[in-house]
Amino acid sequence: MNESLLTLQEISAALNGRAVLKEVSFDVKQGEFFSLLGPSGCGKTTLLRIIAGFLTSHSGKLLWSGTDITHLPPQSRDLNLVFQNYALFPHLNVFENVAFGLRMMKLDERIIIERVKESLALVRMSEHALRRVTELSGGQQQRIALARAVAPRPKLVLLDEPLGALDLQLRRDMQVELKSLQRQLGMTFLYVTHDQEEAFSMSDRIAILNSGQLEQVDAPEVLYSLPASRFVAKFIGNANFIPVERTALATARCLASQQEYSLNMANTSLANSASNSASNANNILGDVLVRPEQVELVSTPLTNQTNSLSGTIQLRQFLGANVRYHLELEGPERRMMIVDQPSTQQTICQPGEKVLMRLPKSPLPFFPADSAQ
Amino acid sequence: MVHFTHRLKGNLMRIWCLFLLLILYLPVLSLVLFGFNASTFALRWEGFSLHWYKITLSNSEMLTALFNSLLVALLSTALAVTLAFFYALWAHKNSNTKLKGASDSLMSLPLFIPEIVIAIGLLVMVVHILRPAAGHIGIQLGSLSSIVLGHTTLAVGYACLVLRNRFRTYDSQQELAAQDLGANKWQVFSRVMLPQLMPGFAAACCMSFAVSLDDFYVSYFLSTGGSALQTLPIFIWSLQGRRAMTPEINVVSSLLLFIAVIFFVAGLWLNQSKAVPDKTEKG
Repeated sequence: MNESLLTLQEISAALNGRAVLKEVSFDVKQGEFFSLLGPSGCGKTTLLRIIAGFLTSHSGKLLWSGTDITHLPPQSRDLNLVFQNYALFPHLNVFENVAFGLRMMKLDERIIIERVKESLALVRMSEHALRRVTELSGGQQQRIALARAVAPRPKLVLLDEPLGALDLQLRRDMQVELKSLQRQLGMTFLYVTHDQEEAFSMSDRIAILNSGQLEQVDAPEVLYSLPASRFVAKFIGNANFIPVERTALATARCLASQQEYSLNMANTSLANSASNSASNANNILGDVLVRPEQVELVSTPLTNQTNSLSGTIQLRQFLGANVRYHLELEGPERRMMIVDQPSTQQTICQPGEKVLMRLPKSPLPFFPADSAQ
Repeated sequence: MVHFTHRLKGNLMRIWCLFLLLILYLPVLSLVLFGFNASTFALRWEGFSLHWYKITLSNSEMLTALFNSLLVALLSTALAVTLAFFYALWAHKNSNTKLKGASDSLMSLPLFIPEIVIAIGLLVMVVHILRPAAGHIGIQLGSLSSIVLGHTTLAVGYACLVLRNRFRTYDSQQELAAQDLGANKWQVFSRVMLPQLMPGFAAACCMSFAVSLDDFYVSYFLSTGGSALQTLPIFIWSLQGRRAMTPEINVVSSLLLFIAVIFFVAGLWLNQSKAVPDKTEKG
């Protein structure tokens, strides 16, 4: 892609003696929609505050197109923040809220008026310029906060869970709008959220943060199909872990059902490192990851096949586009699996029915047992 | 029938409220009315006249007292509001600490101490602590500085209460937002914080001014000295001791009433006017 705009180098931080961020490093590239995703309390808001300049990191560096800005005060950074609760100025009207950053830049009044109008048009709030911000609805306040942040044309816009307070439908509409706005402006967006659907729908790349540690930075597709850790696999979408024993470099035996089905395994770095760490490639315990939609259900005949497991349907949920089955695998562990089938499929399996789950022929990501988290 | 009793109840309530208002305002109304008395006696009505207003407004002793009162009120208001502002700012910045809850109670507690107790306390303090310690810089019994000090003591509690209340609807995250948009510390204060606290400031000023103007006890006890500064309430007090009371006392009291009421009402109104509806949600 383009050159990097913001670089984090081993940023660490502690609050009240508790480590909140542990040597977080990543790059945000010019013009990209980058998301910081993690469960609440993972340190993403702290990281955002460090980037904005409200907090200083314990150690590590912050680079802005190569120059060190670690100790630059917030007002001198070429970035603007959209706050979670918007933090609009209630004593100023919509126009003056949006104009605030421009006035701080001491621009010509004519240019200020022009830029405010432009920004309000971008968020489709032009007709509300003279209203008080306290008269606006949550969604409208959100748009004004956005307009206020983009009006000074910063290189980077930080967004701190800006859609958190909106209802679901509005949130989905805003996701589309935010994405197209970012495209239109060509600005770099750094978006903080705990909602994986939100991050997936907008981002070019996502950084996943878990209790202060960076788990993985990748495009959404890669995160989904090749998660770097069990945490990432579980945090993004639904994950089925099937315990296996590696019998050869490319195959494994499923342990849960005591059935010797051979499974293809992914060529992930994890799988490779696992084979390196052990003296021989055989008999490494671990799990393979199977996404619910990767499985195909076959009701008959119940013959043992390669890449398939048998189980019993416990529960069936209709989810619109998909039908979700909760299955219990055969075997003493009675392990549960989630399987999604397109609802357009003709065959409908009923609870209690014994079925065969056909796993994909493609390689599956493998997580050795010692990497359990 | 139900409708009728309903209306009767409504009317009874109305009469009751009128009665209450009468109790509240009759003394004041009669005072103002008797300021326009033509008689030479304060309490005997002999017809309407502006005679005593003319006499009072040309009484130089009264005018000096009025000037003193306004000066003392102005100075003590400035002092009290400044002190209260820094307290409110501190309490706002440290709103998580346990200390703050205790300090808010401590700040407003003196409002419930009888004024005469505070007045005597001040007298003792000025005589035994301040005069020996700081006599040479002018804190003498009955001096302007001692009375300003006393009135500040009375007013600061009210000012704290009003300003703290105003800060409660103020979201300091806006300061971060302003900083983020390029504002320096001074711009954050003058463009974000101050405009939102302005109604609170104005209210605190009006309250403090009215409290100082109203005060009798503190001024009385602190002006035990001979060449003491005379405020308007003290002047009124001296009027009734001299000779038979003329309507002049009503006129002066009415003047004091007008000034105090203007400031008090303005203070209340400013404090209630919501320049900032508190719709800020904590995230």
